[in-house]
Amino acid sequence: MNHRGRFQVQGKNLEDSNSWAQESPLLAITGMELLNNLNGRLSINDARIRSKGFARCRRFIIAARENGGVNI
Amino acid sequence: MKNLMEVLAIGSFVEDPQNYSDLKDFWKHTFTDLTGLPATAYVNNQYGNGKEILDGNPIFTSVLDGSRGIRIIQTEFDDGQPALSSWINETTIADSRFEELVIALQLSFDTFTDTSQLIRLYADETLTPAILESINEKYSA
Repeated sequence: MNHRGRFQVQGKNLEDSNSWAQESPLLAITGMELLNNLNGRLSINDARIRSKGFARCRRFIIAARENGGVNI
Repeated sequence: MKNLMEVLAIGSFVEDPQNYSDLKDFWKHTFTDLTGLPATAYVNNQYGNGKEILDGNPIFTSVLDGSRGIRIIQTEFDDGQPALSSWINETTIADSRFEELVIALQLSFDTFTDTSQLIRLYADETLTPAILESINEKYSA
């Protein structure tokens, strides 16, 4: 699998993630779905604490889409 | 190369090529000063069109040895977030297991001091979970 990664949240009593491993690059729309799904699994408090982090991540996905993906 | 006082005076750096470059250089030299190793990045921080990603995530990476590395994520000032948070991350690079010390920080004299200690201890393989937790707790709300 050439394209793999994960969105991860963690804290003192929290560790959760959504991952992918596939032959083709992850589409922005799928990335956004995975990220939003992870966000939706958090408690209200955990989501609130991480709201800026999730916002940054969404901006990164959009920027990556606008710039031809990422070479990481 | 800018010294610590000069980089502390840098304000905004996200999407600012000059300030971003100055910070990258600063971290490269800091890593070498602390470990005696040349900095060898393991994250190619580019978009598909070749444009460099200037969001601070990560601002620096370097291999320490074959299976370990350091990743530094630097954010601009935000008093709603911990100034420093650090963890050990298990990942895979080129189908091989890779462990990295990840440090996410807003740069200040204190966070630089603690980051330096974390890097030194991790490089020497003397960083314990208790030490990591105690440093994180200094900055948790």
